Amino acid sequence: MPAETVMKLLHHWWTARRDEPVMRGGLTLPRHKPGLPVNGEIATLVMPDRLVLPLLDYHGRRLLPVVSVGQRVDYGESLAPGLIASASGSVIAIEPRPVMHPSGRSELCVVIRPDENGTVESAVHEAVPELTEQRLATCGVTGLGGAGFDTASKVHKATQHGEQLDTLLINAVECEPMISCDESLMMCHATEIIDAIASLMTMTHCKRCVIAIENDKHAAIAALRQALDLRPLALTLQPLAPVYPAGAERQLVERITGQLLFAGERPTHRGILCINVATALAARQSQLGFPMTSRIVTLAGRSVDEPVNVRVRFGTSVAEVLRQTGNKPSLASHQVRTGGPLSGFDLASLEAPVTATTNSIIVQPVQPTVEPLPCIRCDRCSDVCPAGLLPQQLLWYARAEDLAGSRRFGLDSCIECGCCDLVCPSGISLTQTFRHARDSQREQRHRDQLADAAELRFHKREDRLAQRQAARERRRQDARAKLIGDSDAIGDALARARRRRQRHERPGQSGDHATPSHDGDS
Amino acid sequence: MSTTALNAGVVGYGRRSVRGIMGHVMLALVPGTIVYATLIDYRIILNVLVAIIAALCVEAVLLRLRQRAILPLLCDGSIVLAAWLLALCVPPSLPAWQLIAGIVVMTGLGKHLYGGLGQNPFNPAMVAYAVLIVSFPVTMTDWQINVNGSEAAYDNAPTQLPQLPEWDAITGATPLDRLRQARSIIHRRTAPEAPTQPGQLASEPDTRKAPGHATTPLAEGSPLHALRKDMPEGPAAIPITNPMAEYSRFADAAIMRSPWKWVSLAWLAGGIYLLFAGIITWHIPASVLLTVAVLYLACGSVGTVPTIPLIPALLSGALMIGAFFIATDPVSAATSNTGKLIYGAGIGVFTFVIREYSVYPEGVAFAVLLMNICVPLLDYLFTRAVPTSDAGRK
Repeated sequence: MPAETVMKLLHHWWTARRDEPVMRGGLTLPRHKPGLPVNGEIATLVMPDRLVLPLLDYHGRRLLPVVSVGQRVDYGESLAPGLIASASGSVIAIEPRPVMHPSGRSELCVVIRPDENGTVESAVHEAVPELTEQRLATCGVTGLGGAGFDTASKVHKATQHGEQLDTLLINAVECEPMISCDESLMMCHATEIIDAIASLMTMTHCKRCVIAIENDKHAAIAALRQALDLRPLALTLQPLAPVYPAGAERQLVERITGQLLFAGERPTHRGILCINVATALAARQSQLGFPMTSRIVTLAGRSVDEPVNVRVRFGTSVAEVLRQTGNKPSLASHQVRTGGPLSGFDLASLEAPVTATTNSIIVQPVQPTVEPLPCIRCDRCSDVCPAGLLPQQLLWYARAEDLAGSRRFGLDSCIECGCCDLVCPSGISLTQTFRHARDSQREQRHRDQLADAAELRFHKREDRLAQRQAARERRRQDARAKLIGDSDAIGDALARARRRRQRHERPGQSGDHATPSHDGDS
Repeated sequence: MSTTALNAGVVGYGRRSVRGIMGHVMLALVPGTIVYATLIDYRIILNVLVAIIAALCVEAVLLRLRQRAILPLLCDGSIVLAAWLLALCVPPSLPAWQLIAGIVVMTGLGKHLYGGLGQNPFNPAMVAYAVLIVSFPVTMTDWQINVNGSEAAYDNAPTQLPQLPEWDAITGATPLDRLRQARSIIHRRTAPEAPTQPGQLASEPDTRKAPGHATTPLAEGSPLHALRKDMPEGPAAIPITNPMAEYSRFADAAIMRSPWKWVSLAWLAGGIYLLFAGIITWHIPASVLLTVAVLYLACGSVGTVPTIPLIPALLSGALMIGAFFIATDPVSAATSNTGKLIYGAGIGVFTFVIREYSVYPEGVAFAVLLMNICVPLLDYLFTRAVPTSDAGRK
């Protein structure tokens, strides 16, 4: 038995050496994927009695609703640009509700009471032979990986880059521990996923297509291989050594294509379209006419008795998901985290609704906070930083709120994966500091923009005033010119009058003179 | 906003604590300390204990004065480690009050003056060492080593250089001290006939092997010390025919026959353990040792200066403990890999220069302090070239 293990390890090591592109930094964590489906089926939650759909896009910008309170909406109907109704029912409120945000802030949400019979996910559009960006947009397909980008515009940007898309990269690397929603999907819907990839390949005319998957997802790889045997496609199934955060977009692109992206640059700028495997399936569903209205959520953590992957309709509150799966945590005694144990954040309210980016809900008992020790610059963080930064240096600048210094040390390249937090012997929350610094940087930029706008406005106003002044001046000049013209007329008139007077005077000259003399006489 | 990472245990990652790191380093110091105590002088154990106890007391007082939590910071192990290193660097015969004075300087000036753990720009132990050597030059360079039964063996080492018998007079000087004396004697005796040397050297294959000279534990002879020992009366009139080769041979014997080489090897073993335990990276020790090796080799191939052969050069003095335990102090060292390589190379160069061209027989401590000064610049320059701008890419 130990010999077997050793052989397995050796094999692992050997294959890792030989075939697989290596990644810089990162952490090899023990595989911990609870809640994988056992019988090839993923359970679906019962429709809750309220669905809360935040009027926010993936940038966090507010959307203007196109429905009003009391209105009946159909399944798949547009509620706002980019937001579709995930059930048919009536809009009972449009009001601020807590959303998925670390601060637990409230944002304007459309609250829907679903109909009794509006609970089935069905095709609401005609199936189209070929996937289009138009269809992706209509069906509200957004990224199901982490960022929740609008897939239609992503495809648009990537295909605009050149005549042909360079690489279609299907991201099946679910590197974060405890999250297994994509893996479940691949285990249960491999055939559909391969169909979906075929659709995307046809749509994008890509030069090559790569499915990147961690090599320890044995069941998922087997299922995909089997599906590929049934429908051979010209693509590469690339197993990767399981390193966290291998699934981060930039890291994956770097590892697969060898291209290092600049800070702020997206893979689409290089003609690479990186699509999460679940998003690919949603795109395929949209081709068949199904709007994207649900996703698979992993429910795990130490306080969850039975970890499970369930399909959850968008807008279902976290509390409802927990209730239906038999968990009753309270925020007083539990930490409820979404987005993953490492890169996610703790929820401030359990009323926050599940959205496209809610890949997991992890419930843990609350941990005592430990006061961090000072940084001893042990370099462990820079060893594991997948972006190749020096977090120990960045920390100084970020804490000092030195934005220029922070940028110099690569704040913009930080992907907030949390590796540095995990290894820090002093227990410093580096990622949180960086996140904070980025927020203040963003705020600063926003303020700068506002200031620039104000300056522009001021100058425009100055110009306008100057113009107005000039116009007034011109008018005055004109008036004056006219006035001078008029004064000539007056002069004429005066001259005329003088002439007239002179005419009068000439006959009565003595009279005129006589008067003074007369005065003098008197 | 509560976005702190979950406990590392949640995702099955065994995080190392600061205390764990310091503990590993101390563990790596154990074999060297035992070898030191066994072969050189058992009093080193007492010194280490005195230093640690004194350091803990001073640290506690200073933490109290600075109104910090005492227990967690006292237990992080950093001050214990620093005290241990300082005790290893000073002569075992140093009076206890001087050692304690060094500890006060180390903890106060070296560490807390700058804000405590993680804030000090200079290696605290080396700051204390520098202060001690300028304050107490005599006791700091007088290696009156207790004879642990092996003194005879290494005091007789220089017999290959019969013209230098007067070394026996100095009890327990470290090999580097002896080399310094030898050099000055050679220098004095050969100076008048200098013109004959180059030719002789060219015909002498032995000299090609070895560059540089001397090593000793961190502490080295002060100028006073060197002068004092430097004046052998003896058969000064006898000319040395091939001084460079003689010197090399002598150096080889002085170092390789002295028990100090075992201490150096024990530091090396501890350092290799630290490398494999992932506590330190290879960059700093490798660049320190490589630079010193290259300089000694280059020096040896020039052939006009007295040099030590390569292996004794690396095993001499404080080079090993300096390269693996002192230069690698993460707080005061450069932090990027490139920075570390340059930092290590700088320490190597300064060590060599101080040993060979200054009045001090050993230069590791000052080399580390000098390079500590350069660290902010190195850290500023080497950020790891991450493309941070997409200007012009769109």
